[in-house]
Amino acid sequence: MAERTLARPAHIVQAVPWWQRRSVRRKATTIVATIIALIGAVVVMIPFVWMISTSLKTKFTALQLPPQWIPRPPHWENYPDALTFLPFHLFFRNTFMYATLTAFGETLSCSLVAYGFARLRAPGKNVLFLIVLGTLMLPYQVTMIPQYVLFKILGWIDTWKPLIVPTFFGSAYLIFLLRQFYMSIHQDIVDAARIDGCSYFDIWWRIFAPLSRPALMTVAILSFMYHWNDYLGPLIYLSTTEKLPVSVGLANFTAAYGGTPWHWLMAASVTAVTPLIIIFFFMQRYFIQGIVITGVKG
Amino acid sequence: MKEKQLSRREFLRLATVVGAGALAAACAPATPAPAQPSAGEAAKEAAKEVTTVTWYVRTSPEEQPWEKEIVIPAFEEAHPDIKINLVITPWDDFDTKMQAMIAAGDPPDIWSHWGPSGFQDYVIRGLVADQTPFIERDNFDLSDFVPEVLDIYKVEGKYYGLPILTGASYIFYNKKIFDEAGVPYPPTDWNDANWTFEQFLDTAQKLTQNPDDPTKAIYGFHDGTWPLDAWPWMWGQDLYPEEAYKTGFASEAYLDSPKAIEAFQARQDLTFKHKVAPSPAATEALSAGGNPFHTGRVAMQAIGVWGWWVHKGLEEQFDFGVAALPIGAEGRKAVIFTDPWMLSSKTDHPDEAWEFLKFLVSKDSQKAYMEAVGAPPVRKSLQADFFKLYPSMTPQEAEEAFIGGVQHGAESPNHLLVRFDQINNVITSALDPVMLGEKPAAEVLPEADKELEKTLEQIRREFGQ
Repeated sequence: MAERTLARPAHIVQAVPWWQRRSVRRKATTIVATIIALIGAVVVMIPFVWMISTSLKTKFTALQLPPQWIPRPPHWENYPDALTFLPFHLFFRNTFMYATLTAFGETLSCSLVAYGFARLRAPGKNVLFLIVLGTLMLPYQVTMIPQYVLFKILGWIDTWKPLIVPTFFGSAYLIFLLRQFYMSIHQDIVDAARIDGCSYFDIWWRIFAPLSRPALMTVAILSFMYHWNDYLGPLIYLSTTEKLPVSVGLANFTAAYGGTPWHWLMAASVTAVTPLIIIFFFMQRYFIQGIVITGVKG
Repeated sequence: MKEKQLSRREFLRLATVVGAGALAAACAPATPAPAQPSAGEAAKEAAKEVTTVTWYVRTSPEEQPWEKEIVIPAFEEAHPDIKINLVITPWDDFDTKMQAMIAAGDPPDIWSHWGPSGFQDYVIRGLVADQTPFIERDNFDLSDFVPEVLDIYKVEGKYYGLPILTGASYIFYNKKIFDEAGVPYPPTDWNDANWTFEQFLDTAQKLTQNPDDPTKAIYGFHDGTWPLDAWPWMWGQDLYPEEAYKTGFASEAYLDSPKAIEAFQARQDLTFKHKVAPSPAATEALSAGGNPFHTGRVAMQAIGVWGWWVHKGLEEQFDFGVAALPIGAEGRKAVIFTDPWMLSSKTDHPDEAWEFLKFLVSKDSQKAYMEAVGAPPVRKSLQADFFKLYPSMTPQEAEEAFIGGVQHGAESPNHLLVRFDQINNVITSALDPVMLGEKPAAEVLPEADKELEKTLEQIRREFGQ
């Protein structure tokens, strides 16, 4: 062995077999990873494909076993039928209004409250903070009825007020999230700003808000998604059909005893998730960031 | 944005006041707030005194068009001084919203037990008004109603609910599968003594094909009955003493009686021994899109009254018929389901609410309901029309099977026992090993009976019975 190596001129690099070449190995890794990711994507997509497929069937072909994946003929009329059976254009308008307003309200209020908890000194601040966190322990179902009674006294039943106004007073989880983020902002910047004559409010507006844009974006998106999907709140407070959001509107297709028209429900559901998918495409970066920051998939 | 800053002390004071206020509001007993007309209504009231009656219903793609396009417009036209406020909620959330409305002192004026709670649950809480004074005052004619059905929601001789629809539990069968297998159809006559459980099992066995291959299987039978009481009832065995259906509270349970054990063992054998019924997993797959009978892979299905409207229109796919439940033993009973309109005892405008309820049970409304939903009517004068709604059966067949079921049945415990939802959950989970084929009924039921009696005792204690 050794003789052979000696016999070979030094400037000739030993030929690496093709499968050991770096470029090839890198490509191979990529291909394998892509295949695995594709398999995962297919598995995740099956329910979604089923949803689209069902939305193009008739009430009875939707029940066939084994299921037809490609309905023949496709019943496109399910879409106009389902979306006009109930005033879905109003539902979308309501949901969009609700999700946007509440996302704005929660981002604003949580940001302010979190700033206070993170930076201002006050007696009993920590106790207050613990109380705020304590509200996380209460499931909504527990406070639902007393809250309903409260809003009934205010005469807010069957309006959007009980659902929107409270969000302008913060939400414990998002306050906690932002407070942790604000804690990491350097005190030196704040001190410098104070010396230059910044008020507390200005510090929040000019320093904390710009520096924490990713976190604020995350909070806004989490809030938006939560309220987009919110079901129980609107269900309890709203009665007039024209005021309903999409989530409750979809439930209006459900019928007892297995009489639900699945083809309509799925047509309406496909329409309902489409805006979210479009938003996701444009805001993908922030969605992923949100998962990174919170470690929770919204 | 320059804002006057709150001093810290001021802020804390405010926070305390607000916090205490919220706390007080949350803990305050739910006293009904006086009804305050909203601004929009006040303007209308200036012109004319308009009363709003709240009508609370379940979501249903068949019922909503009837409510919105037929009943309400017709009623409001006839009564310009009454406005109907229709509130719609899915079955699963029906009680949640009802609970909120009751707590806020603002329950609906008219509703039916269209959620987990049944008639008796509302009566025991004092939410249901006696309609007898109204009926007598207006000389409202009840002679067209099927008398037995009218009596179901009488409490101490008084009318607490007027029926909307009624019907028992039946066997629906797929004629196509029967014809292909050359097996005679099951009988529509409930008195046919040959239609024993053995005969039924034999029929199911002849119809079953490839039970172990879900992609090709044709099942002889699918059990779509509810609640579980339906099985021992087929053997003539009640799970509670008779007076429980009057008082709403059961003093004991008979889940461990020999007949109940026999009934549930038979139910288990259909799936695991004879393989004529789909396994729990196969049932799951068959139900993915709704009712397993619609897949065309089930020859016979036992199902409650809703079979009549869930299967309506199925003739597009295959012809189907209706038959009597098999006789497990002497005294076989079918579970009847009757839905009543209830009038709120807490209503601020009983006269207007009653006016609307009266309109709901009028012949025209009932006819429109029957045609929209396909639910069996409670008025004798409408029955003949109802039996013509099913192209693949003769009206005589439909009538014989339907009436026989009502004659051989009794009202479902879920409407007559207080807290049946809780009772049913206990029975269902206790009987899981039987339904999943893990243990024989004789082994499971004595234990389940003890558990059930504990629950019954707890419910009785809770209501001071």
